Amino acid sequence: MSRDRIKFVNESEEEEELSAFLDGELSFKEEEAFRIRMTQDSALAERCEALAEVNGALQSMVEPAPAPERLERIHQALRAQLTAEPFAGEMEERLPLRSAPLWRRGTSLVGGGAALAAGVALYLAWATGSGSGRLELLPPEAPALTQVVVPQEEPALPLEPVELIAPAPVLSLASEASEGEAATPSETFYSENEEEQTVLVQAEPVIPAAVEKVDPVILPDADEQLAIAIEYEMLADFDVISNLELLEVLGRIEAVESM
Amino acid sequence: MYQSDPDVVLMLSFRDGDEAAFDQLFERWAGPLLRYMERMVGDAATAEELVQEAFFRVHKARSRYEPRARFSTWLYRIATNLALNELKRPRRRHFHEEEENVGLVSQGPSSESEMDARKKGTAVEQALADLPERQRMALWLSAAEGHSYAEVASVLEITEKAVKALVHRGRTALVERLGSYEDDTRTTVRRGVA
Repeated sequence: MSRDRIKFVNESEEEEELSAFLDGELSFKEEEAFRIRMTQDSALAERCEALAEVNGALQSMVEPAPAPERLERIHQALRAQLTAEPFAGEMEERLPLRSAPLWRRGTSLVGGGAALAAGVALYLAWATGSGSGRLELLPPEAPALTQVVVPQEEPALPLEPVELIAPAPVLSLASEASEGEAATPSETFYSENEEEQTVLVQAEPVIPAAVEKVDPVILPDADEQLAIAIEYEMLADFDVISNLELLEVLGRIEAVESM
Repeated sequence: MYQSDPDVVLMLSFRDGDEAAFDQLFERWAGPLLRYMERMVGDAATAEELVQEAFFRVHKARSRYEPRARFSTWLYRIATNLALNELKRPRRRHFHEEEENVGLVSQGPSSESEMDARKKGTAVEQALADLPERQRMALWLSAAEGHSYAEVASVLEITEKAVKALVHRGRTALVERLGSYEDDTRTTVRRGVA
């Protein structure tokens, strides 16, 4: 090592010692030795004074405490977050907080996926001849099925008998609370309200004379649902099992549609 | 070892089901943490979000909590990681655009000496904002908030020796910046007198 390099390293170490001195990081002995050196070296003492000024300036920036209303706002937002995301904390790492569409949230997705899976399972049971009499065939012009939320207490509209025109593999699954009846359609696709029951029902009571006047409500197909999920980073936000479940449900829907 | 830290005691109470202890921890640490986050990310709104997120993680980690360091060290480490992630985000607004957002010096009519102090305060803030992020973090935690090098090392997950070097480099850079600021001020005053 050259003499200049040794000098530089020594000076650099001395400078770092100076910072450590100011931060109270030296031992008692080291501190005493440093004080003695400063009395003998005016340049070192000046340097120390300049660095100490910075400390003073930084410490003065700590003084004004944040406004209480800001802290209160954070506290309220935190409480709301803790209420809204009861499962999120189980993850080790989370993405930074940002707003998410309702249907992206884990609880809703699992509920929706389970309902879809249940619907598919019931259809398959019916298709193999083991279903109950509650499954009906609807004309091809009938409104497509949509997933709605039916409050338990809500009175349902009576379902008129349907005259069969042509067989079509479309499901009509009524809620247990209103067997043989159809409920008012809702645009709610997923809901966080666990008191409500999610079921697959016919969107409108089917009356043969009125069939042609009803615009069908078309669900996105499996590819579209997958595209939406990816677009909203749904898959990225859930664990592997949830992802697999979701893909499985989407795959089963596709399989049913191709029948 | 850390059982004597009152914040650790609160955290252990919280772990055992005392929700009020969590609120006390928030009350004690949200302010300092918010100041730290503001210095690190340079945007008041983002700093608030990160403080919220840090306490959210503390809340959710309670069942796994073991006192292996002072509570503040643990909390600051969580917050520092959040801040470093935030600083990596490309859509983050530039630090200097936010300085009026973070400005700690109060506005309003004041004497000449107060205005000088305010200007100098702004210069310090600017100089601090210009430091590389780890230097800024180490210097703030050590020189402004009085954390020991060992604690800063734990927060930043580096060695104490590295902290010593970071703090010194940051402090020296600030001295140089402020030195040139004072030279400029003196020149301006002389011109005004002439």
